[in-house]
Amino acid sequence: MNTIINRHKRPSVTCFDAGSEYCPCALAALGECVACSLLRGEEACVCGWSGLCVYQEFLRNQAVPKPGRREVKASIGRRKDLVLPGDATPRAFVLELHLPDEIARWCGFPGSFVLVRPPGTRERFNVPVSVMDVRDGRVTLAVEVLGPKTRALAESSLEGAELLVVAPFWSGLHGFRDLQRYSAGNVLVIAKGMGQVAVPQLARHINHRGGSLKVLLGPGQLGVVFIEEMLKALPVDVEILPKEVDHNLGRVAQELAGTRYDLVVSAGPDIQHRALKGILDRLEDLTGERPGFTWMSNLTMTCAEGICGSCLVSGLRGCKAQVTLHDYLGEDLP
Amino acid sequence: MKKYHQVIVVGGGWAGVSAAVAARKLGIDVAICERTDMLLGAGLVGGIMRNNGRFVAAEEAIAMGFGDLFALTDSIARHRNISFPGHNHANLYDVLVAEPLARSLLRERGVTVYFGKRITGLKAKDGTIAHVESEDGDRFSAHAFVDTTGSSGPPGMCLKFGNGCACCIQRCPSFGPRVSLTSLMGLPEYMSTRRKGTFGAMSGSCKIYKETLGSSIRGELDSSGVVVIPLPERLVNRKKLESKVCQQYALPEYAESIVLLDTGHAKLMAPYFPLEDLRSVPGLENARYADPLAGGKGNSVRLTAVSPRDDTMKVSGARNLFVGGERSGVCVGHTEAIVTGALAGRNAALLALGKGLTVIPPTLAIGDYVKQSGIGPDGKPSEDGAYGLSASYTFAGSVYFERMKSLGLYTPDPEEVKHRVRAAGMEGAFLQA
Repeated sequence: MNTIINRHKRPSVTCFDAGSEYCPCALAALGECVACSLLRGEEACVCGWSGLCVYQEFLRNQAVPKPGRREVKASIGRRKDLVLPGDATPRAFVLELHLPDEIARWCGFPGSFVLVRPPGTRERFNVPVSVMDVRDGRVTLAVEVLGPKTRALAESSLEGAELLVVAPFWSGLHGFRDLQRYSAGNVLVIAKGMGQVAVPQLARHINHRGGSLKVLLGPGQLGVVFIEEMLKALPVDVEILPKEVDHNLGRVAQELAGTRYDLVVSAGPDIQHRALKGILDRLEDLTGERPGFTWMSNLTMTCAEGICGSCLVSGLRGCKAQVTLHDYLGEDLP
Repeated sequence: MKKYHQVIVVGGGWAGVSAAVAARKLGIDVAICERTDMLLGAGLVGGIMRNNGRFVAAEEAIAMGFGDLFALTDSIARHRNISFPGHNHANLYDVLVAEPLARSLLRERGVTVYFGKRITGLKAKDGTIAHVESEDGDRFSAHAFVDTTGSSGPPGMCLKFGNGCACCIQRCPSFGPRVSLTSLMGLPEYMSTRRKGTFGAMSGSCKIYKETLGSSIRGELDSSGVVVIPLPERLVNRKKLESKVCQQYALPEYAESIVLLDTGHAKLMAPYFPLEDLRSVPGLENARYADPLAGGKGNSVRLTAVSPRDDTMKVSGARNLFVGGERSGVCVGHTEAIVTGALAGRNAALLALGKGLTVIPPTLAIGDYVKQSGIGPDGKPSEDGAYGLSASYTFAGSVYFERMKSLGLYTPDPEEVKHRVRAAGMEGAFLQA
């Protein structure tokens, strides 16, 4: 009896949640696990390897998913509005939330985010928000006011009030392995607009691991640089990019040509990721060396649990799957 | 990082090391990408050489000019020319000192080794691989590639077809499991079956720390290399023999007794043995497993991914991919890995040089073995009447040793082997293009 194996139906990738207390999740029981081909009903184990065997975790859990993230109430500490000159309402606001310690602690990684909504609203009001910083059980978030969900959140987020929070999620930064690998090295972060929210956690992470960090900050679409103060307390070399050269990235190319970096982090829009990829491609052609690359996810997050499909990119669920840059940008491999 | 070499070998087990050494003999620039931090892979827990027909294979390899790794294991033999149930004229080498020697051999020969490079991607067009890519994004391009990634695991397979991850020498949880190039190319692979049709086969031995054995057993092991302890009937589990990948050791003696061999550790010739049962045997009261660490529960599951190939070791459907070791057929053992690896490495080098590929004539045991152990593009064994995917082929016993004997390929006389190699026109053949 012969069995042909390895007819891949889908690529296997590493999952952000693998090995966490939330793994195996509902996808495992539904035959949709992003990491495990066996759980997807394929013949062979062609796993993206997340550091442990999800199949084993599932069987060990009596073949049922773990309960998943629960919703908690969090009280709001301080709130700070970012009102631009000429605007009547805030463009964005920064919030401090008091979360249970065990949840706050797990929000303390670069790329962590939470889902928040005002009490009394339904789950469709959940807003995915990046975690800027975590100190002593207080989680700092920044929310850009864009549409009905964020407006509802802005109106309800008063100091002392409560919000409903589901957390932690970790898929805010892709290229996560490069971040792990090069954290002790020389790191360049290009953060623009709301992308700035990624920087404080990144700075702490890299600092704790002995790396050094240079940050190029730009106002981006948001129109304001708002984390400068926060970064003053950290050993970070900050340079503010003037708005007019924000898009051409010439300064970034110059920086990369002049200094050897182990890792480049793009915290901005997809167009910036693409442009930086181009710069790194040229750098590699010239020098044969290519720094690692980590980039902020701009995928649409709705459930963030792999169910709704709003984050699909190149057929992968970007809320769970650690996708490659090619998959993320929807490009074929060269 | 982007690297170019004429030949890239993926997988630094015995087969991969052998492939690289064979390719270097032709002056080729060759590199190995190894996912862990050590060479020799599953062979790190090997230890038995030259038993039964493997003697012929080793002597043939030496005569053909690729005896380097046999010389290596001979140089660290703890016991020479010993017998144990079903096996004669075996050498037992010390598995604890082999790896650094393999490493310095590669250094001496000028083979580049990249450790911690688990290959998880490749770029291929029309069956030609342009480059392979490691998990951390480095690219390695070459004229020809050799897939010696083995066929054990990944852990999901050990769970599906065995008793789960037993924390074996493969160390998948730490370094990530092997990924085969054949599978990355989307080409079919096949799984071996056990005699009754179930899939996969379990590694056939465990290693026990010698220090944990009773002093009389330890003394006997040190002096003679072999200890056979008859088991009480309640501990005899004959079914376990069916699950063994190493069918040369699937003999009744191995179920009815505990067979220990001195390979640096004490090699227990059973796929697994519940620790409490093992410790109920006099002299083994304090026994502890060195590999797999959960040897009381199970062992690694192997032969889960065999690539169809031809007699030059070229993978069917690929133009510049060769395969050696366990991936290259239903074959087990490091003698088998060394000989198939060497042929794969040599032919990859010949392809890179634009020269005709080598086929070893079937008048030699290695040539016949290469023909017999492989499977064709249809997943069928290359000759009728073979056991196909339900057997495992080794020079050391079971169906293939029987075949060697019936064809007159087996001889314990090294001069006879030399004569045959000369007659086949293969003397020193691996030393030049």
